[in-house]
This record gives sequence, C-alpha cells and structure tokens, in this order.
Amino acid sequence: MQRLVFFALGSVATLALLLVTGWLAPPGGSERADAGGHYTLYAEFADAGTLKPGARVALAGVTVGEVADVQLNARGYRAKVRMRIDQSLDHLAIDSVAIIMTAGLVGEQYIEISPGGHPETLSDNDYIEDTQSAMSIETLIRRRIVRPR
Amino acid sequence: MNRIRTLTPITLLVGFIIALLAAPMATAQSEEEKLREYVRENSIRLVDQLNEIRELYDSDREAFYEAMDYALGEFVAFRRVAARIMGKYARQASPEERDEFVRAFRRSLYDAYGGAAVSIDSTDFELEVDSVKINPRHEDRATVNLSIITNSGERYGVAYSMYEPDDGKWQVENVIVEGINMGLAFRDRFEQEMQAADGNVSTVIDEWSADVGDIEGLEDAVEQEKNNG
Repeated sequence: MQRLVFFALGSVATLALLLVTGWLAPPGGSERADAGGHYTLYAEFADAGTLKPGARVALAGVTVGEVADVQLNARGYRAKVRMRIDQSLDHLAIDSVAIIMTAGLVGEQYIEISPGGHPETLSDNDYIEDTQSAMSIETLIRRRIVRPR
Repeated sequence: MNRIRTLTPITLLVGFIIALLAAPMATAQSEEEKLREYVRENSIRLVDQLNEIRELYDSDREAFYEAMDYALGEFVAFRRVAARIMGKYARQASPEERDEFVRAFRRSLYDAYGGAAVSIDSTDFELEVDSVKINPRHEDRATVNLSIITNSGERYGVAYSMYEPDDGKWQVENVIVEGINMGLAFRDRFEQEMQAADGNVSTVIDEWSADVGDIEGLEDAVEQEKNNG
C-alpha cells in the first residue's frame, strides 16, 4: 500500500515537473502558431529605447505578438523593428500607430498598437508608418540642458 | 582613339544599367527638393497671412477663424487628420458624424491656438527645412523635418507627415513636435472621451464641439476636402 502511495505521489510530481518545464505542452500550441499563425509587420522609430527581441506587442493591453528583431536602418539612421503578429489580428487599419511603451516606471519596453479606422488594412510585410518613439528621461533632460534660458 | 576603343558594348551596357538605376534616384531627389521648397514657401506664407489677419482676432473672431481656415485649408489635410484622431472609432461613425468631427476639430484648434498664433511675429523665429524624405514604400507620403529657432536661441524639432492626393498638392496630415506625435496625443484624448461617454461617438463629437458655434466657410472647406478625398 505504501509503495502504491509513493508511486502515485511520484507520478504526480513527475507530471507536474513535465508540465512546468513545457515538455507536456498541449498539442498544436506554439508549434502550430509558428507554422502559420503569425504574419510580419514592420515599424521604424527614431529611438527604439531598450526594446529587445521577444518584447511583447500589445493591443488594448492584450498581447497580440512579439518583437522578432530590432535593427538599425543604416540609410535613415532609424531603428527598424520586425514584429510577429497573431494571424487572428488580420484587420489592422493602415493608419494604426505603433508606440514604444514602458511597463511601469522602470519596466521593460514593449510595443502598443493603437488601431486606426482606415478601411484599408495592413498585410504581411507591411509597415506601420505612424509611430511614437521611446521617450527616455535622459533625452528630455538633454533637450532642456542644451536650450538657453 | 583610345576613348573610342574603351566604349565597348559591355561598357555601354554597364553605363546604361547605371543610368537606369540612377534615374529614379534623381527623380526622387528632385521631388524631394520640390517638396522642400513647397513646405518652406507655405510656412512663410502662413506666417505672413497670420500677421495680416492678426487684428481680426480681437475685432471679429468669426472673420479671423474664416481667414485662418482659408490660410490653412490647402496646406493641412484636415479630413485625414480628423480620421487619424478618431482612430478605430472612425469605422463606427457615420459619414455625417465624421464630417461633424472634421468641423469640430478644426474649430477647436483655432479656439485653442488662434490666440497664440497671432501673438507670434515672423521676426520672432527662423524656420529651416532640415530634410525631406519621400516614403520609399508610398511615393504619396513624405516626412519633412524642420527646425524652429527662436530669437532667444531655442531650437525645436518639428516633423510634418505629408500626403499627396492624386489630384492635389502635398498636405500635412500629422505633426511631430520634439518627438511627440501630436496626432497620437489627440487620438488619446478622443479615446479617453469615448470611455467617458460609454462608447458613444456622437456624444464625444458633440462635446468636442460644445464650445463651437457656426462658422461660415467651414462648410465649404469641408466639402472641398471631401472632394479632394
């Protein structure tokens, strides 16, 4: 009887461990999303702040994708951000705005999309043309310092 | 003789390819130069016109607004600006409500900034067009970066997002001041007011225009914008 209890406890612990570490993810989850559940959008910013690959892309506070990479567009000296957006969000208007936000006061930076109302919609590999760059405290201070009073 | 020998078919072909590749670049540069001049001229014209109508601000406010509307009408794509501000709510608004918001927004701008505009003298500042970039993905859109330098030496960075209608001249559709996207700031305000009004677009537009009376000329200007697309 004692062996049976140990066996049951051991099985439950092993299952919990496998679930926590992701070995027993529900079938078709992230794998299926990677296979075709996303499309790509780009946005360019004058200042990408500390935005990193993997940062979330949100709409109304809900995660709808992630930042795939952040690169320098050497021709215009702007940060070019590639985003992977959930395929279900396939009706974003072309006048949507991509905004670099900070979670809390000193939290990580992420992209919030403010949806537009234009009848035309963005599709794979399109650019969100209207953006709001990251505003750092350092930049704001610097701007005040260089201005004569 | 040597010169003739160097002009082999391959040299000619390479030259032709380079010329082909360079042609769009040259066109883009000249388009950008034209836009630079257009923005510079219009900015000067606007300041001059504001100086001319300054006295109307105190004597005849309606006439002042009308004159301001005339001055800005061609240079600012108010219809597109207003649609951007409404954002996602533009889709749920009727065409009449969208027209009404264009009117309300224009008037609210004049109410808020008309006084400040007439207090500015063209000798108070200098305006420089720093760079012009036509969007490589959409040739009917461009970004124009300007610097406004006051007499006291303060320098403000301003960027115009511009749009060229099929049958018209370049127009401003958004302004970014010192990195702050003004269209987005107004969109945030619209969003806040939508939440306060429980999602009723009509209420928000009515309240936006609560202090707005009738103004002759706006109707015509809105109609003209509608025709411009």
